[in-house]
Amino acid sequence: MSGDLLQTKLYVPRVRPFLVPRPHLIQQLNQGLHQLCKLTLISAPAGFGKTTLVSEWINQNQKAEGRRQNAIQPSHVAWLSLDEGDNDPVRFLTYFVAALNRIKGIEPALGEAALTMLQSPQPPPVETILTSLINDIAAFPNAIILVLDDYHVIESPPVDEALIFFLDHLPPQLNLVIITRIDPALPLARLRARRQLLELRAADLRFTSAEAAEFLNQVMGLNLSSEDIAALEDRTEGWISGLQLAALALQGPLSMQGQKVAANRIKSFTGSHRFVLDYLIEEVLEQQPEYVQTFLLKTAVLNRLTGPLCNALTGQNHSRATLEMLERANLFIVPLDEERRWYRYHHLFTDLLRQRLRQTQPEQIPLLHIKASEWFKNQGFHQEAIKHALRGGDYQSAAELIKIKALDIIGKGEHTTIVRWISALPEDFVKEHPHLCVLHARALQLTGDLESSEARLIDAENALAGRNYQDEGTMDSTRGLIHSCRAYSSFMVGNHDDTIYHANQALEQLPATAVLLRVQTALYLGIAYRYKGQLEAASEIYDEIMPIVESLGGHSIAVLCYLHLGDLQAEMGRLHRAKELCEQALKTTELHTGRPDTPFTGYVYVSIGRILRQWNQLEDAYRLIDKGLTLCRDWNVADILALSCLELAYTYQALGNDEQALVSIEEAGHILDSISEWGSKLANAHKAKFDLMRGNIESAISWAETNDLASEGAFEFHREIEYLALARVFIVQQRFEEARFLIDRIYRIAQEIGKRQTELEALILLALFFSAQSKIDQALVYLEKALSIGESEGFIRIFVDEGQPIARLLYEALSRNIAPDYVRCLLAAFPASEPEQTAPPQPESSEFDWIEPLSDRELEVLELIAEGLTNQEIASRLFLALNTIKAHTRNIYSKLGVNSRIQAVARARDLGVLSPGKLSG
Amino acid sequence: MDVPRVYEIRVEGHLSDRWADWFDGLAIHNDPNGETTLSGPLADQASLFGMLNKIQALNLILISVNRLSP
Repeated sequence: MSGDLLQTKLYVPRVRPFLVPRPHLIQQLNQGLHQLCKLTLISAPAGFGKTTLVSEWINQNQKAEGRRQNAIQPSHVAWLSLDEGDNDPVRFLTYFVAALNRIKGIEPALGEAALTMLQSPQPPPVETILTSLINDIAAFPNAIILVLDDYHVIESPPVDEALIFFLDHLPPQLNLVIITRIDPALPLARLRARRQLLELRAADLRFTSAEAAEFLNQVMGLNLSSEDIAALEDRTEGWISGLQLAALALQGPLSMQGQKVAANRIKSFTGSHRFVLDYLIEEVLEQQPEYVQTFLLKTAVLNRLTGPLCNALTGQNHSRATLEMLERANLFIVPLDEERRWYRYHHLFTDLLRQRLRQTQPEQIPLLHIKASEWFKNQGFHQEAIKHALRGGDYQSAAELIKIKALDIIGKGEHTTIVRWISALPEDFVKEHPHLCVLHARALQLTGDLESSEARLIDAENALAGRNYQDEGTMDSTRGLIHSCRAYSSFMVGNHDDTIYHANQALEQLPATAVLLRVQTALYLGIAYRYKGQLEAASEIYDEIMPIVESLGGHSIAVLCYLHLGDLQAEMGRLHRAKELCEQALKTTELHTGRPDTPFTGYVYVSIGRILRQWNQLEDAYRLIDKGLTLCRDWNVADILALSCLELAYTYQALGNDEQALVSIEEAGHILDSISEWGSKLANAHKAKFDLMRGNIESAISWAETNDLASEGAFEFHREIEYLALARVFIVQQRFEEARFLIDRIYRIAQEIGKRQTELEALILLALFFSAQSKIDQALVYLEKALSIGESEGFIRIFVDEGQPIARLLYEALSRNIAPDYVRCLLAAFPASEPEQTAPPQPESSEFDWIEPLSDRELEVLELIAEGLTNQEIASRLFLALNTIKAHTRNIYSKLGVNSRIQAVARARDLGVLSPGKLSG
Repeated sequence: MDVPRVYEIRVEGHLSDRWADWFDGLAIHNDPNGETTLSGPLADQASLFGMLNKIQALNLILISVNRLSP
């Protein structure tokens, strides 16, 4: 990613030779460092030598001799030259962090975690990212200077706010320097009052008489009398650029330096009212040789210049030499790198040159931009190529380039940039390019403007349908992209069916090169499948994308994938595999950011902790969950935070600390209540479970009473916790039929979709169900099944959390030599007090003795009942009369000792008469 | 309410006519006291502040801004 950054923005400007030394200003800047001022503000209009001063100051700071003279410590220096593109907050932050990240000699580099967060598809809030950066800075013992140059180009409130946050929390070892032409929208008055602000303004930066004299005569090589110097100083009021232009005008054409200066020229300048710049530009420019004038005007359209690029625009072939000459002559040109390959003009100069170009050869302007665009494209600088194409009105080229780069740029989080670019294209043009429409839609989605995004998707579909498009050969990927957008928007509103449909379409049609988008789409698909209980499908999707995820390296989406896959494995009962995946997530994060602890990986720690808790490794579980929760608070995503609190609550409960458990559960409930209705329901279900665990039956019952979950009707997978809690309450209330029906349903569905953990829990509940009716033999049948599932993956708490009732059963199991090693291990996990021995079990009721087997015909009918057919349908199927079927049904009920279809099917399955696994209606 | 209004902006120094299109067609009048008055209609607040930005970009010294029409 850092390969994509414009290194010239981060370049610390070199000091120009032959400057006028300004020791008093340097001293003030050093004092700012000494006194640990938070902000050093250099605020003055263009042409007051701001950047020159700061780079000279830094240069002295970095050189031992300079430091000795000024008695200061060396600082590490970072520099960021801002441009209007940095109004995109993600771009601003990326460069901001990158500038600090790039400082040599700091291990680990600052801001690694922050950079990872910025790349995430759903970056955490700005405060979180900056806090991570600030913590990195705080941990670094030495002084750092960070310079932001040209801050006046920032007009974006989010960027100002980010900087305000940064200033508020700044560690003392960082000195922020802002160079600007207008006062920034920061709380300057407050900083001034607290003496945390050092300001250098125009009044401070003007040349004094002595400095003006030194500049004109020594630096510029003129031989002026003191009256002339005074007159010039007076006229320009010490404005450095003004003096510089005056000097250039007086020097005569560059090719003729050193000529005697005409006295009347000075007079005509100092004596007139003419706007200084106006006068001087004319004088300076018009004196230059033809080729220099052409060079200056034509290259004015560029934001940065290099030899070959200038050749392309001017048709000359000695641009590199020209640039070097301009630099030597001090003609407002600034180098942007060590090697003297890239330059830019001083901004004031650029403005004026462009104005002149507009006046004299306006028709050239679009042509120049197009040539520039062409050159940048061939060199691989796509972003600049696009900017110039747009300014040159070459929409076709701009569109081509945007299409190539858009997904990458969006992948970096800079969707605002894409919105800006496409908005600069004519509306009709965009509508004829479905691929552009859908890229626009995707970028708009990410800015949260779902309405405009949808409109654009429709534009794209219309263009495709009407065959009204100009771009060939990308139709599949366009369609794939449309589906991917629709998958995203469906997912965001919780429409899982549509998500599944669109995501599958997208994965079929997106090109293999759109790696990030494919992984994101697959992630949503997997989550949607899980919501719908299609665990195998989810598992397949994750298996498919994992190899690609690994290729994404440290991208935060890799962590999300591992997390979800781990979660899925845990649901399917594979605890060891789940733990492996979570540990892989931590390793990957550490590999790419230098440490495993980031706000993202908070939930990874919680997930591992949850598994350890299940294995009854309670101390370790507590440690990890607590750590994870702390990290999660930084990321501050509500549902993750709530789930982490719940895990902590269960861990406290297992450790016997009911008080803390309650606190955590309250917090979880509080957060969940604020998310959504579903969140509230989830919270209440967990509270009910807790109530039962603590013997607070009343509370649990009143929850069950107000619960709106229908035992019948469509099974809502995401409300599973509620079903289970409800079943427990029914058992306690001795509403055995309802309990049985509910648990059976949960069990069958869990079995069908492969959700082993839930299957296990249901079996345990069935054991408790029978135990509550003193049907110990039956209870032990189910307990044995549960034990056989739980043993290989080491499940412990899922048994132990049920408390005394299960302990009694386990003792009985032990006495009957059922899985003795495992049972001993489970019993050892109970708190020390001996469970009461129950009275010897009652003899089994006769309901469970097989009195009369079902006839073949009765079995046939029962099987069809299990398939969900009505009596009428069964009659048709078997070519029998309806009354006959009814009679059979009555017999079946009496033989099984039941009085409903549901119970008949359930009992028959238990007795092994019917095979399990068929879902009835 | 953004309706076009006539503004009068005064800056220090004299400007030649060639700056007319930089200042979006405002009339440029060089006053005898060494100041310049730029006057003319501006569509709305946004274009007014845009104009002030342009003045700032050139390092012209702003003296006053007056709205002439009611």
